[in-house]
Amino acid sequence: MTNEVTIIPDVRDRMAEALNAGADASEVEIRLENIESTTITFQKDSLESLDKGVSVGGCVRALVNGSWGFSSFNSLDNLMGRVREAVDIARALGPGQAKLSVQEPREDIVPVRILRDPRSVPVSETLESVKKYNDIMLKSDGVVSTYSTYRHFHYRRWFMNTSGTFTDQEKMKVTLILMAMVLDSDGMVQEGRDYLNSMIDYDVVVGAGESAEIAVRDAREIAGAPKVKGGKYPVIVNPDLAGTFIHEAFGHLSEADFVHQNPDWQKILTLGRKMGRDFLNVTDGGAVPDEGGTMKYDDEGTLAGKTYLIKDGVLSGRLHSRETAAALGENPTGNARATSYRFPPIVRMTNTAIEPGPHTLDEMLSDIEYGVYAVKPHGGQTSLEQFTFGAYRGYEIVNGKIGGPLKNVSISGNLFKTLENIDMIGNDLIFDSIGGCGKGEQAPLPVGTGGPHIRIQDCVIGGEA
Amino acid sequence: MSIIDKVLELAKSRTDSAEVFYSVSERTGCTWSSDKLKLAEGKETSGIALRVVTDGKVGFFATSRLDDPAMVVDTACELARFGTEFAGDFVRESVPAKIDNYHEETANISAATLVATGNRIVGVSKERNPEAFWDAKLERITVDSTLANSNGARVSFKKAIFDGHLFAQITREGDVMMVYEFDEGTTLTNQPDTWVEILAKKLSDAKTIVNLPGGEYPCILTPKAMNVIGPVKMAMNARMVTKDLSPWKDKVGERVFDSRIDLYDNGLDPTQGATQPVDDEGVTSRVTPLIEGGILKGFIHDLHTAAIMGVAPTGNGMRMGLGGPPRASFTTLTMKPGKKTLDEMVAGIDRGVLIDQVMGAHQASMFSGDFSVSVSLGFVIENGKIVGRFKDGMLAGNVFRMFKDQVVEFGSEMKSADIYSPPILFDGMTVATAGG
Repeated sequence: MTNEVTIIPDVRDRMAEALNAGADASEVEIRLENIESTTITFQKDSLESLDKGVSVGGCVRALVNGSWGFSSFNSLDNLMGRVREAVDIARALGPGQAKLSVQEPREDIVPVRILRDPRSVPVSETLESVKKYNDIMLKSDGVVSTYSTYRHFHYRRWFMNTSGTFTDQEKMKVTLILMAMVLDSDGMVQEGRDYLNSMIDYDVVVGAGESAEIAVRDAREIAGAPKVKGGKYPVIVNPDLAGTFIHEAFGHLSEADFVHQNPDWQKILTLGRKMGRDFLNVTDGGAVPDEGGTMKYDDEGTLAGKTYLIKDGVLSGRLHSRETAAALGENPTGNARATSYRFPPIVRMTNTAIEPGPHTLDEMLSDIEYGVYAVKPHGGQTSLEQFTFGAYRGYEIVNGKIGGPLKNVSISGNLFKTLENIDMIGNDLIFDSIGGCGKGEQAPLPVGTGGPHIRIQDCVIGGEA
Repeated sequence: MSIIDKVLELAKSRTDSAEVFYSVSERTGCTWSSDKLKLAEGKETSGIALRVVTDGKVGFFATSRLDDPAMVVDTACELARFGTEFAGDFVRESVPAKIDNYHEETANISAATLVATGNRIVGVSKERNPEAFWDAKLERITVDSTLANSNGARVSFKKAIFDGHLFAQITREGDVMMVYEFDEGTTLTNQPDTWVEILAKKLSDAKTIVNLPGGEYPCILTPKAMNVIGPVKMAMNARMVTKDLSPWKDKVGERVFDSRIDLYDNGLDPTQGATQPVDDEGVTSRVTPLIEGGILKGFIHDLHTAAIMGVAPTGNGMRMGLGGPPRASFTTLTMKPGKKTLDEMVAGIDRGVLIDQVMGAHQASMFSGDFSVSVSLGFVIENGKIVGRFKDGMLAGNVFRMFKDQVVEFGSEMKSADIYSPPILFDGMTVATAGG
């Protein structure tokens, strides 16, 4: 790992010393962080932004009598005072209900495997590459404007708690988003986009000629496409989008923080409940290599693993922090995550996926008279039981064949009904990490999503008549 | 010498012009989860951002590290070699608008006050609606900022903001309902108690589930559900105009909306959290008319876009935290209200819907205005009365067309969300539902 150590000298000893000031709390955690980021954006014919940021900061979380106190800061001068502050504000709340599962102490330094480090690439080289892709789009017929944005961040996090765990981890992400804008027949701007990202290699992202062409092709296709008519359809979701679907439709519901104090939810989400057909399997885990949610330890020092949330169609697990695990008498799963030192960890997904099933795309298409083939994720949102997700592009399915393009495909559903309505799962699988997840005030958190083709009956798609 | 002066002096000697922005913020917050007080937080954030211009090109660097002025200047100067073009000039003088937006009583709200307020609203709500589980967050934020540039302008300003939300969840097999209220502002100490009343009424209105067939309905959108407004905001932003991304780029002076619509960016509203006496480039805050009588009057600008388009800056050069350079963005986009209360609007509808919470606005097309959102809280109106809630619906439309051709009337009760607006009744809105 590189030079950040010089920014926080003697980091391990200082954290250990500061924790002594919290000896009277049930648990105290310190997390320190160094974040570096660079953003480059071209819009139309000019460079719109070239920004760098470096942030050093930390936080302390303390549990006293079942209530939490949290303190975050940029100055690392007085860590011991920060520990006292967090302990004092927790104590002032009076008794609460939080308890933590026991943690086996661990000490681990976890460097990330980086093939080409974006921080070592001269800014001029990245600028030239992004400009090249922007120009490819801008020079294409019919393109009226463009938006090309490159971003990388790298952070290093040091974590120590009074249970005796110390971890020192790093994470990197490089992202390139290319958007081409064209006018439709009403003179309105329609955009097409493509993107690339990597957790380990600058070169994967900055080799994007094809993406620029895809963005232009998509923009033209969307501009010429009719809007989907609102209603209920059989929908085939492609693998890129299936990951977003399961993240929104089911993933958030498996986060135990809203369950552990709510007996109504505990009743509904009893492990063993039938959720879907026998071939439906859903997993989450930070141990999947090199994806957005990959991290060996979560932000409470729990070793990440792989959790089956649905196994053979049956609800079989949920995502936990140490607190939610203790409350429900289950084991922590390594899902306590924070976007940065400014926030306490909360229960979050890491890399969430539907596992491949037995069906082929041809089988899925064959008996659909009229339906929608939805591809390319365009965000989503959930209120637990109800969810929505968008597809950049969609196609009609007519008499078993993929037909012409559609624009504005936005799907909404009730989680339980929708999982039951997944009647086929493909034998393919694609992981994607473009997404940043938002929950409460913490966004974006890097996550991975994965899935095969899936077919869902009776999906509600919004649209005008 | 302060860090501001150190960085500015160093930068001045090496560049054509330089601008330093320094900000310290403090947050005190309390969180309730499932009826119980759970967490108290104290957060301190500090950092410095430097923007330099050399040969018309900008270098921008932001950091929380206040111990190394040379590193800050070196990095910004290095980036300026490749940087973005800057057509403007930093302000020569920064004159704060006279606004009564900073209140000591807001700045001094203690954690103990937050705890007492939250315990009261969660406690009362639970007593009135024991079936619901109640979450809340209350927060007090103070920000102290200083801007100084090589043209000699220097200005400091303070903000004190109170914000929070109250959130009810009722969980039954086959029917999970989430209802929330939120507010942010400079003088809202008493606001949380109003959330209690508003949510109690909504929970009561939502008791019955009504099957709503898909179709076209008169539809009241509350300000909370008005987050489909995004493409309209883009259309009025000079950053988009200069990139040919605004459908209104050549339409100043033309009618773009219903002739009853007045829209303005209000940088002077003392009650709004976004209000400050100067923007983050030092331009005096003001009210900028954008649409009057349905006619487009202009756009919001930062120094750069104003210089490109040859107009005066509008005081909209805002930073999203410390991390990025100032860019034109709205302070408080405000729509002129009408006369009727929400109850009176509902009373005038034979059969229609009232939509208060939607999900998935960010899935819409960014520029064209077409949207299709999932309705997470929508009520059915029959014969002038709310008869219950509909589920699993999607609302679709085009936001430009809605404000041009579909407005029936405006309500009077203003609320600040993505836009500060009253509820609005639109005609002929398409709702798709699982009911067909």
